[in-house]
Amino acid sequence: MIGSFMHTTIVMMTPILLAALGGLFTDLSGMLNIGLEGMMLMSAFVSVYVANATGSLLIGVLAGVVSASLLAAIMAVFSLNLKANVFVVGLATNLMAAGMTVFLSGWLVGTRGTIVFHEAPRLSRIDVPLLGDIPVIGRMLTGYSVMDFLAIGLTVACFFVIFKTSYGYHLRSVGRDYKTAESVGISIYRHRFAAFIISGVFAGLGGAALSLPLRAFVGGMTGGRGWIALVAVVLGRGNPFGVLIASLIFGAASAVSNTLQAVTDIPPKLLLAVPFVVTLVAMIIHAVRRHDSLEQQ
Amino acid sequence: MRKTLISLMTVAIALAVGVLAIALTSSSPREALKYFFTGPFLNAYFFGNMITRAIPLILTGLAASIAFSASAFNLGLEGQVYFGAIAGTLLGLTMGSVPVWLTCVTIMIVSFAVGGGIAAISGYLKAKWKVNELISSLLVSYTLINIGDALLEGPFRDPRAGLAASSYMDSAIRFPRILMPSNLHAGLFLVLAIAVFVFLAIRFSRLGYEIRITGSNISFGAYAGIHVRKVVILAMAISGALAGLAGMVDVLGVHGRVIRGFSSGYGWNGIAVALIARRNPILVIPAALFFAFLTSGAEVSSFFTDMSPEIARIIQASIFYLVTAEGLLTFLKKRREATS
Amino acid sequence: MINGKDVSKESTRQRREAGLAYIPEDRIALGTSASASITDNIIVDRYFKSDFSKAGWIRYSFAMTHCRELIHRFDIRSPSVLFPVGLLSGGNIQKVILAREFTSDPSILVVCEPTWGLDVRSIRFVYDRINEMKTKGAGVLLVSSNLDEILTLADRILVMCGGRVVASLANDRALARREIGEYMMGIACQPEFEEVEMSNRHA
Repeated sequence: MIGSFMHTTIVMMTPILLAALGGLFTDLSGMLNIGLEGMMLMSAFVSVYVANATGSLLIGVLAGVVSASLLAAIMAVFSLNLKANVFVVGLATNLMAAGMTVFLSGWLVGTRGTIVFHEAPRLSRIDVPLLGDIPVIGRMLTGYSVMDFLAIGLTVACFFVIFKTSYGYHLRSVGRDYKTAESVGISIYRHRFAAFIISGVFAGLGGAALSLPLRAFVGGMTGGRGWIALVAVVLGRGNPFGVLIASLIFGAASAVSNTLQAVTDIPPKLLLAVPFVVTLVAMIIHAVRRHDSLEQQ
Repeated sequence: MRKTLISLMTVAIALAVGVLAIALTSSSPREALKYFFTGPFLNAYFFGNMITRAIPLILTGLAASIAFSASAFNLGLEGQVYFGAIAGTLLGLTMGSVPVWLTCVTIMIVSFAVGGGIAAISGYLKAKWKVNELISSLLVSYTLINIGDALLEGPFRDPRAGLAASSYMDSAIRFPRILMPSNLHAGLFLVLAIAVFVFLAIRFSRLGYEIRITGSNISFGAYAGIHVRKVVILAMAISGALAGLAGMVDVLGVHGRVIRGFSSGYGWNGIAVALIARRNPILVIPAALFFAFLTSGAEVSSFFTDMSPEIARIIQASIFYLVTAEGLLTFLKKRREATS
Repeated sequence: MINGKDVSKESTRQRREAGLAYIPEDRIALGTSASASITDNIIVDRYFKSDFSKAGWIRYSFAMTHCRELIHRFDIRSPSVLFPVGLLSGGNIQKVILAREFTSDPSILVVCEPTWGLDVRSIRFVYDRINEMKTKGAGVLLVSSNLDEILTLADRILVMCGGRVVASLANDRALARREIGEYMMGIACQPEFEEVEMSNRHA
């Protein structure tokens, strides 16, 4: 029971964590990317559709990543080159993805409801030998898909990139004090543009991690995960491991919601609200604590 | 002059995107385009329904305008619209033997207050602890939409209805229809009056002044002695209140009951409407009509041809992209200079 | 303390009502709202008073007449009272701030870098207005990094170095720049200020 709950937690965490790692890069560059939701949604459709059409998971994931990065590039051009308000462009991204995915599914698949892609290859579970035999927590340690392992691996990689490379150092300096960064010759434009693209790649992976295990797509299936990821970025305080912990909390909230739906009679819609309530409460606690620590200074 | 040009160009580019998408995907693009542009004007039914569509958008557009004017991003309009309507309707169903006009006024006030209360939470969180109101209002909205759905699927569902919806309110409460056989209702006049009032209030009232100053430069407002936190909370509250009213007016005018998800998109489109109108409450009216035209045109066209009604959403999203692209004009100018 | 009243716990508005006026160093970020009109910028500390508003509505006809008068008196070069402040020249933006802060009948005026970036005419104008406030009996606290400015305007000078006051000098003709310079650079320090941590130069 506990083991399987933890398992669900990790599985629910993966799409949020992936998107949040992407959001972390835009956040570090000093911009709030509220288009994560739309990028995820776009990739959720494109990845499963292409995987179904080509029979290749890899090509599906790549197509999803490209589609999300495209949205990210549009966001970057509009906010950086055309000086549009980054929030508004983010909203546009979400709206475009919501409309475009339903439009494409109607046009390409001929239906607007839930689409099950029977031809799409299964995202196989990786069972680590022996680990699964450990009582209670065995289920927690093994049997994850490659996307779950990828999310954890990328967290470590992001930590390395952000804190141990000169690129990461420059990126952080752009976000912290762009005037100073500019005065020492670091290009704000290039770093922000790159950060958008990176966030698109990660959000794309997050979207693929959502639809590929189900081999299905339904309009609006991200259901606010991009926004939750955004809060995870805020709570993570610029550290990938912080983002990991925040995502884990939100994954657990979703797992609670899922588990209760299976074992109780509480209306499922009410339980669907749980992750949002948890996210909101987490954000408020974070803000109150930061506020208090600033007061004390 | 320059602003008008940008607005017109925004619309033109977005329409071009739509025309392109129709041309690429429809098997009879000429027919599809014809119905898309002329459909809403074909008869009283289509025309009336287009105007009806604009009614809640005018209110959500005003709601977004007021919040934006104070530099507060109210992204929770969706939930405020929905929950305002649910609260008002449930009260309308339980109020027994009171005069009809009293019920009607009371439930509108309640929806107004409920929407306002919801948004004020985010305003308060921002003023008190600097919680990002953009995210908090959105999270509250997601929560409330799910709770609202649960209410309509469970305790408040009318078992006789074929879908998740409340019972019908007394038909005497509802606004009179003004263009049969369409859904167009007298709520239009109420909404137009509110738009004019909001315009005057933002320009000439004390609170309107405080909202404008706080929105244009919050440090300046605080330096000059305006209670900027209070202003932000009030602006959010009024914004949410108008959103709550938008849902109620739609119920009173069109549906007579709340249906699960009936207001989906009202909030987001209201934000787009406010942005096209550049936060001007009077310009919100034509902007809302234009959005309603896009949706209705796509609907009529998909009714007669194989065109997808989602075209409207793609055009609307394109407008969203272009609408604050301040650099667009200079960018295009540079391109022209470079190519010539 | 303003006129014997402790305002350290009061709101900004209450402090201003008690007679405090402040001309900030940063005119665009703090002193004005660039996108708002001259009128809206001037009435920001008085729009709620009975002459300016009635039953929750601002009396713009009165406000505009008031502002036209101030534009004339403070020599602000602008096409109209509804012109956005951000489109004015730096000198005129500063005059808008002066027009507001000097006409609120203050008993204490805090003035920071009032002539930074202004042309000679405007500087002359600002000095005249500050002297006018002095003769009216208002206490003026001038914070400036411009030594000439301080020597022109001040009665008494507090020299600061490294975040604390190091000298208090009367501004008589005999005062040498060199002496102030030594205090400014931390070479010298008056004995009574060696332990005191206080602020600002004083006019």
